[in-house]
Amino acid sequence: MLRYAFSRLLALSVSLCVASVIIFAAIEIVPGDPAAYMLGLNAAPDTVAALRAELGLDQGAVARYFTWVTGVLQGDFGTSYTYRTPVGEMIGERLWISLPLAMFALTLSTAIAVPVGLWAAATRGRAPDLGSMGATQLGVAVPNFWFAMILVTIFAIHLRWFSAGGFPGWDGGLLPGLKALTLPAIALALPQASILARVMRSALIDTLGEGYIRTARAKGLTRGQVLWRHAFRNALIPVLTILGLQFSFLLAGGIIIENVFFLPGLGRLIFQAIAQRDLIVVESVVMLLVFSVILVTFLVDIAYAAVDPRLRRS
Amino acid sequence: MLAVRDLSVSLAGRPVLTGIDFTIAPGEILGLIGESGSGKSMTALALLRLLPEGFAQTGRVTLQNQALHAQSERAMCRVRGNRVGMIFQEPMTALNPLQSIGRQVAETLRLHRGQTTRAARAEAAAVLARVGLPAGDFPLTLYPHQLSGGQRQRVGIAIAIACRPDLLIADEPTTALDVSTEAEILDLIRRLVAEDGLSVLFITHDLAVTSTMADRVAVMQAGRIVETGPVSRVLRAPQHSYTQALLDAARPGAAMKAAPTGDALIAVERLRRTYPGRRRHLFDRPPPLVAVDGVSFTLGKGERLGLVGASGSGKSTLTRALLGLEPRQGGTLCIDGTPVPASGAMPRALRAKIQVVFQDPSGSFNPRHKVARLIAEPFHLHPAPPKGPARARAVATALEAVGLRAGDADRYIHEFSGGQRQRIARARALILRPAALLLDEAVSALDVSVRGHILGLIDALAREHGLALLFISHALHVVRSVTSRVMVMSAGRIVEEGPTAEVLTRPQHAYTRALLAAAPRFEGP
Repeated sequence: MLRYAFSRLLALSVSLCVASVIIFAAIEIVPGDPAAYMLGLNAAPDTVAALRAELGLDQGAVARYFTWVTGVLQGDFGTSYTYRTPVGEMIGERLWISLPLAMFALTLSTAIAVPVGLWAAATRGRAPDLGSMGATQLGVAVPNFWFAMILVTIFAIHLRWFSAGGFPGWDGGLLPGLKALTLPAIALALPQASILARVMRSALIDTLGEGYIRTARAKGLTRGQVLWRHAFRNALIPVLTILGLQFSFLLAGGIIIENVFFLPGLGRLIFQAIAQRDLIVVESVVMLLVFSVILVTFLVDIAYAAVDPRLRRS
Repeated sequence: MLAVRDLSVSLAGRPVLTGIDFTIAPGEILGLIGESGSGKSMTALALLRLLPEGFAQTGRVTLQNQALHAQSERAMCRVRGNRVGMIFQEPMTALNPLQSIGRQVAETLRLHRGQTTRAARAEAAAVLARVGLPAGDFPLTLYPHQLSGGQRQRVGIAIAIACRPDLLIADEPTTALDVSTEAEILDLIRRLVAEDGLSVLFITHDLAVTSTMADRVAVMQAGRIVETGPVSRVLRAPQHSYTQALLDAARPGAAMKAAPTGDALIAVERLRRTYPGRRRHLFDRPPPLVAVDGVSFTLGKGERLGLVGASGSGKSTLTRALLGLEPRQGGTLCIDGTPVPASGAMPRALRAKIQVVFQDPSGSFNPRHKVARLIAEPFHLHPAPPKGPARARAVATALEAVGLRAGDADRYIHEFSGGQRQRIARARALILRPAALLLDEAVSALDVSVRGHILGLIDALAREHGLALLFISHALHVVRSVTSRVMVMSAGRIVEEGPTAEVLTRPQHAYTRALLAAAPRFEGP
């Protein structure tokens, strides 16, 4: 198990190095000089040159790559071109919204999907299965911003249970913060839960056709016991894969939801940074997202091995 | 002990089992024989009321005066695994891969005896030791993937007998195992029956196994029991024509005479295939695993050669190497005098000369293609493949040659039975008119009567086309009647080679003798 974890960890570091090079190269290719952009159309060439020198843009690409990477490793993401504040601080602030939102949405989606998937698989072909799978079809098809607008209309405008947007910060306590994130989390979670429930159901149905399920029934286990003790854990691998992918998506993919609910999250930060050619912010946020994807993949790999003993030896 | 009266099963109104009647006395082994699809496994599942959804069953099943057909589902759960244990055919899939063997055996005990985890584990260790897996060598924490097929089947048996049931249902428990493992498992079942006084319903399609295991037999055909009686009487003097047909098909044919052979079609010299060993750390250089170790032989034009060995002996790797599907790490391979490169693609002209039929024909057909397309598939090896009506004619001829109708070309593979799929696999292999046919366990999975038909078909086709045949099998009796020369393979080497009759009657190598001794023999009346 330890060796497996170590080999996954090695793979993780290699992926990170490769990703950092690709991100840096991609940003290099993007047209538009941040210094010229910041100073406007009428700036004198020597002013632009001076700003370029100040931002370190006059150095060679390789030198700038290493400055950036060593900085990131030490927690120094550089200074934003437009806001002149440390990028690390900007990301930190936003992360305190995006990360809880992603976790909240993921928890909700799992809490909805697992029971629905189990129920649908247990009643395969009958009314509960057909009904819940019809509902998930709708959940997959309808875009999440539309859900968001429906939720706002019902719960914020008519019922006035939640505010329609904005974020009070965590200073006022956990509850107001969570309350502000509830509607966005539901809007994010519903499509994800629909996908996850369908995956859960089909994985369970595959598993229920296996020989060891028949063995378990012949042992004297009831249908419910078989589903829970022998099918559920065995069906988890595809579910874990989807969960890992969903987390990465939820962390950054909430741009539209963040806009609908006026949340100052990572998605909006990167959106603004791209518009303003604040390349160092773009670079850093993308690197952070890549890091989170790779980290989650690593955790999913470890979870695979925890679930399936056959993977522990490779 | 068990009495079954007028048991019938139907699926959507279509009868699957009709009026099944039999009894099993305490301590008696009843052999239930018949071809696949005759309803043997369905009968077993119906006894436990474990039929898949959609099946409806009627009739009376009485176990020691308890009417199982009238019990609630909850009461049936207390019968299953407790009073009736069941062993399944596929040891590879019958165990949960994610749970340790100790836990899987202990689960039955906890369920029916209400034992604590600790007590159940202790007893599971004792049960596993009884089936030949002592905790010293096989700790309870092992997972199924760490065990061989035979060891897994022992775990399956341990689960079935853990609660000391009155009745054991064994559904083809040794069909998926090789001969030596099969003999061990049969011995184990015999011993447990003697020790516990178990009644057994022993389901098999293998008459040889039945003759050594059962006290009485019931013969099934198309969902009915056509004959029942003591094993000695039924196998010696069958009264039903179907039983007679089964017996005729199972009787070993006379060994073939050694035939003079033409020029070498396949010539193999010191062929070697190795796989990289498992690396233990980053800079490790592990020794390679040798699957085929310096094998040399020739297959003459029109010759019939057998290749026999237990599973894992390297037979299939050698077959794949002959087809150019595996690179070689040493040695030479010549087909019809043309050397084949050690790695990379085999030239098409050579590939067209050798065709293969694998063990499981259904796995080798794309279910979305019609038979016509499946059979015409090898034409891409042809320099000028026939088109249009010529192609359709070739397909029709190939189908008729294997005893099917030309009209079958428009059907899909799932519409055919196992035996018919074997025929289609042969039609596909023969459409290019190859010089040699490799048959990799191509008849092992078939029931005796189907096997007889298929072997007859191969014989006729080989005579007609002057085909060379390489029979690869773990079943000695198959090779006996259809090959003139046989090679015995063990641990990647050919340990013995000679005329079939001689090798099978006077084996020289210890391994061949062990293989022969382990095979259940059915000499017939």
